[in-house]
Amino acid sequence: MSHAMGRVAVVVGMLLLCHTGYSVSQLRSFLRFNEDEFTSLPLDMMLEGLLGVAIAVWGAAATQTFKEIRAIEDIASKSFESFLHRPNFITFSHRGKNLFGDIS
Amino acid sequence: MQYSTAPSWQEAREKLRKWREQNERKSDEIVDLWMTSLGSKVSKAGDEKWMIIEQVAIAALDVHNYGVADDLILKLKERFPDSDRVRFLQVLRLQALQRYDDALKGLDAMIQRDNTNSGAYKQKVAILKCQGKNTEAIKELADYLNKFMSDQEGWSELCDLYLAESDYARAAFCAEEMILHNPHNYFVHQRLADIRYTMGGIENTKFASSHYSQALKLNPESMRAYCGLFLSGSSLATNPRVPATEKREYSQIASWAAKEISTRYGENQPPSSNSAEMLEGLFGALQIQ
Repeated sequence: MSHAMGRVAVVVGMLLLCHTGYSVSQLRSFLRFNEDEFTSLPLDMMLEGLLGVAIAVWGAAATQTFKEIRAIEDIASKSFESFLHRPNFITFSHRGKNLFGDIS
Repeated sequence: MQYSTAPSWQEAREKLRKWREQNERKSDEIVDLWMTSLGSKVSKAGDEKWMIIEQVAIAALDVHNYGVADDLILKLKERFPDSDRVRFLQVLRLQALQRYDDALKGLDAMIQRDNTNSGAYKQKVAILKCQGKNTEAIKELADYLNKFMSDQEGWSELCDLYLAESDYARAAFCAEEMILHNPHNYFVHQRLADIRYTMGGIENTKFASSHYSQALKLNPESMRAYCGLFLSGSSLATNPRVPATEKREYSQIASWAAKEISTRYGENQPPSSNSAEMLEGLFGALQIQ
């Protein structure tokens, strides 16, 4: 399963859904024209709509890995140091000068 | 840290991006990666190029490698001649060279030009801290936080400054602010618990015990929280002014924490070592009467 296939599936699903909507609106205007009542959707349009939704949802959900919902997975893998590091308050007066600096 | 085989420039770029997003301060590794893989090929990185250059410039200042730092700051100045961010980098460079007065003058000029520039206020506090002027730094930072109340870094820094001055009550207040911003982060609960435990007294130790428990609920791998829970639980269990029912509860907490610590140390030790007995001995030493 690849991302590209997922994206294509989403597009196809949305197009199917749009097509269904268009068909239904056409159906209703036709019925209104003939002064018939609108009782229920024809089976093929309903199926088309559901199929479109199913394909789009599959494309969006099944072809990618989701991030873990608990925040802990993210946080537990960080080191202590990264919690204490505040880049906007950075100070350079530490031993780094003697450890890493030029020996000159 | 030296790499035995130099990583490709794409790997280096990925690493730098990850460190940028996760706020890591691996300055010597960043400069190393720049010198070995990324330096010559950075023009291929597209839009990310300037952010990478800024990141490496700050890392170079951190390891006091002025050759690389000056070179990169010059590149940035040529590309963005009128940028506040580049001026900020120049102020950082002055700070690294310990020319604090020039740096403060530069920051004051930036603040005058744009008084919503939060970075400039914060760097002023950092420079005062560098010079050892903790009380002035605290005053500046408190003023800043009055204006920009939701700045998490600011509260964290203020907490540290108060701790450096041993003003635990105010440090606890700052740590509580951080919990308000990040209730799901185990680290901030642990911090508050550490401060409260240090303040001492029955109420504070109970408070510490509950926050250590919350930290453990959020992250069951945190050794510091287990040790803290053990210490606060055993200190309450041996305190004469605590009623007997609560004493029993706290000693149960302490022994549970001790068991967890032993199992976790046990899991990470090679099978032949005798560290289990060593640990039991250390627990005895850890009891504070």
